[in-house]
Amino acid sequence: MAKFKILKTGETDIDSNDIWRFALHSDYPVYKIISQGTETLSTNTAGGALGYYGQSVINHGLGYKPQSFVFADFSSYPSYPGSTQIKVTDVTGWYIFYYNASFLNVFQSIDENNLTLYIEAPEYGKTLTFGYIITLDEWL
Amino acid sequence: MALIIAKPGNSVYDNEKSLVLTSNRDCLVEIKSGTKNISNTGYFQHSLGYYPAYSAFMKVQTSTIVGVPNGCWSPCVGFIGNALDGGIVTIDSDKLYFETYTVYNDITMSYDYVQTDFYYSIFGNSINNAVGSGNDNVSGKLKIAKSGLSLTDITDVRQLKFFVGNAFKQDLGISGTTSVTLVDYDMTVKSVHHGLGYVPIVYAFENNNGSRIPYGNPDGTIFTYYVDSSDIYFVAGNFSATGGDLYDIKYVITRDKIV
Repeated sequence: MAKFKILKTGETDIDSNDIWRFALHSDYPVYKIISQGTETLSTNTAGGALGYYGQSVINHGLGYKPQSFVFADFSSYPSYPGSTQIKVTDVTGWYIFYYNASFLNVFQSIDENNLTLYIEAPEYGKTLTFGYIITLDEWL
Repeated sequence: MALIIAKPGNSVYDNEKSLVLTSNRDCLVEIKSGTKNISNTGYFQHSLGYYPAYSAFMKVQTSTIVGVPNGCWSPCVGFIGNALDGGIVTIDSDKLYFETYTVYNDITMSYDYVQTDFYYSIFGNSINNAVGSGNDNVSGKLKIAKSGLSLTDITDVRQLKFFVGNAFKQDLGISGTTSVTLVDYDMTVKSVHHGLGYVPIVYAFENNNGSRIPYGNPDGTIFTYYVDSSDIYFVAGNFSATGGDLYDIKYVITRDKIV
């Protein structure tokens, strides 16, 4: 069967078995994005484990669990002890973020229909902005 | 008109999840990658002028987890409590920031800084999906513009659905599912052989809660993984007495190498 292959810049052997040398190879699917965007959540609802929470549910409707990438912008929060740098970071699941004497619990999960973003804090009105990328590619 | 590539044995009319590439969708394409030796803290300057999506791994020089060899690579997250033996990586519109640390195998989560290597992949895709312009970073001859844009005018990869940077290549033949059982106040290591002979980029997912790993749960459980040139080592830690539950871990191995 014919193959579709594109080598990375600087690579010359189109017949190589080192797949990492290719920018694209038709035996190996790339990540294809179905949905991408941002959501800003606030702890404006009483409840949750810490006192207040905010939640956003993003429907993808694929009927299976797709691979996704979620990032959160902590740059407006003071650094936690022991760290000098806190910016935008990858949030993979539960994420327990400490700032000064308090903290923010952050959670993301995905199922067959929705990506759920969630934050909770002891204080009312804490906000956090997420960026998300949902792909068509399934967790096998 | 569309450019669609199906996997061997499949059809271009199959469900999109089964396709290798489709010009009907934006693709995640890496534009910068490399390794950086860091002592305590450091950065890589990407100079893109926006917040790009990224992935990063840290080399664990000395493992504190029994069953995980020294020299494995660990996925980086943004906060110390979310992984064992890992690194902190964050990003802004100009730099990717690294912090090295080692978390010890106890409930206090005390840590030391170390000197070690980081691997980073920076994608052309903006985290916030902004199309944007101003960069001159389009490479290669195969380019697919986003809807409504003229390919001849594009110099910024944010305006492309696909181009010849590096698209991560998922090897579905060696990807799959394994399971781990939590043990009270202990850690469970489960290894999966990949046998590639190099350290591949791997993504993993804890299927019960539906979250990518690594992550640390407020109830005291933690999930992470390590990769070397032969195996993946999945670790489920439990710092409380909630053990005994069986968790499914799904993993995708790419044919893209860390080292």
